[in-house]
Amino acid sequence: MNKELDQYLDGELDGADLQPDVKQEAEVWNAFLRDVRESGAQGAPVGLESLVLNSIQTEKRSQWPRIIDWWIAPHAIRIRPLIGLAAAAVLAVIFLLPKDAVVPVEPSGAATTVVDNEVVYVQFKLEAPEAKSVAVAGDFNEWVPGVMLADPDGDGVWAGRLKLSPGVHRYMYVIDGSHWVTDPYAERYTEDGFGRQNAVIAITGGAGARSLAP
Amino acid sequence: MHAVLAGDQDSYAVLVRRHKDSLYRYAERMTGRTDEAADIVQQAFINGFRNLDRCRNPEKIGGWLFRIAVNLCKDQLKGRARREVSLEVAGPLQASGGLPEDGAERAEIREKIYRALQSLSSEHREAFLLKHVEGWSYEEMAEKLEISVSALKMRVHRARDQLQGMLEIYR
Repeated sequence: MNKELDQYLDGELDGADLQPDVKQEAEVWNAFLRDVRESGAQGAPVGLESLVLNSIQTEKRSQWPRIIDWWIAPHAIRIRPLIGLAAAAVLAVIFLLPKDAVVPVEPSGAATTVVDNEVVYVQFKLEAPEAKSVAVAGDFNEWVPGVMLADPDGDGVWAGRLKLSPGVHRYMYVIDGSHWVTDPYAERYTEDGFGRQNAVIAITGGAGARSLAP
Repeated sequence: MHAVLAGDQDSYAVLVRRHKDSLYRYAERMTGRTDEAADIVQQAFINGFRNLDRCRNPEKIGGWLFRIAVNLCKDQLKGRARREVSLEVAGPLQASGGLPEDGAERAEIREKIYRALQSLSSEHREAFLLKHVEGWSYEEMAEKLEISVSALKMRVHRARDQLQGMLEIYR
């Protein structure tokens, strides 16, 4: 196979940099790969999650002795000095910084806060031209991708408003029911513990509430 | 994450919810069978739950679970080879998703894709699917599979070389 084409398919070369004949071949490959992705199931069948959770419920009961042992037994905590200092600095900033020092700014990210008297709405927006559906999942809905965004004009920009309580919320977008993606324009991010990043939005309550930048 | 490691079922449920689809997508294409894929995903989560204390890097528990599923797929395919059940007998996967505008022509393409994927060696298929269906970078693949980037690139390139014949229907 053409080396340039291999580099493109490996994600090491931009499509705009390809020679015309290679670009044509790349388009053929893209069509094929799209069909590979769309053939077969896009996600787990309904009921699989329940089956798994029922199974581990049985497992959980046998875990108790081990959990109790873990809490009773002494543990040595190892921490790198630099990380310890950094954590202490972060805590100091959180607890010592006066509230006035947190300056509300207009959010420029995809999730922006809309205030209507006492109600706080968050506008979620994601550009996903090839998506067939886009949902929002976060700690506010138990990470169930049930809040669907809409793209009424078909321009590939999906949007929707959601009423949220004041506080810090983590969320992700779910494309086509199964592809979890991080909001590229979030105000800030946090590790999701699964190797990716959750987007984070912080909302203050009451009139005049605004999304706060970190 | 610490709640997950301590065996908290609600926290583990979030983990299941987040990863069941990608694990299933992968297992279905690897095995070519929906029933085996469902069993593999279920077993992967159960094994993961049983062995949470062996998860060395809690921040990457998703990748760790995926690796369990990858290994279960390998075991499944080895077991199948031992039982000498050919893929021809097993039959094509029954796509629960399906291509858009599904019709006879699309069904035929899906069948060809299935045959082409199953004609790859399990190592080549594994690398190809992770790269082009799951969209992982070579670095992510190397970390999760514990195989060098250069070896993975070679597998993906060889898989693509073998799949070249499929492209004729797109020209």
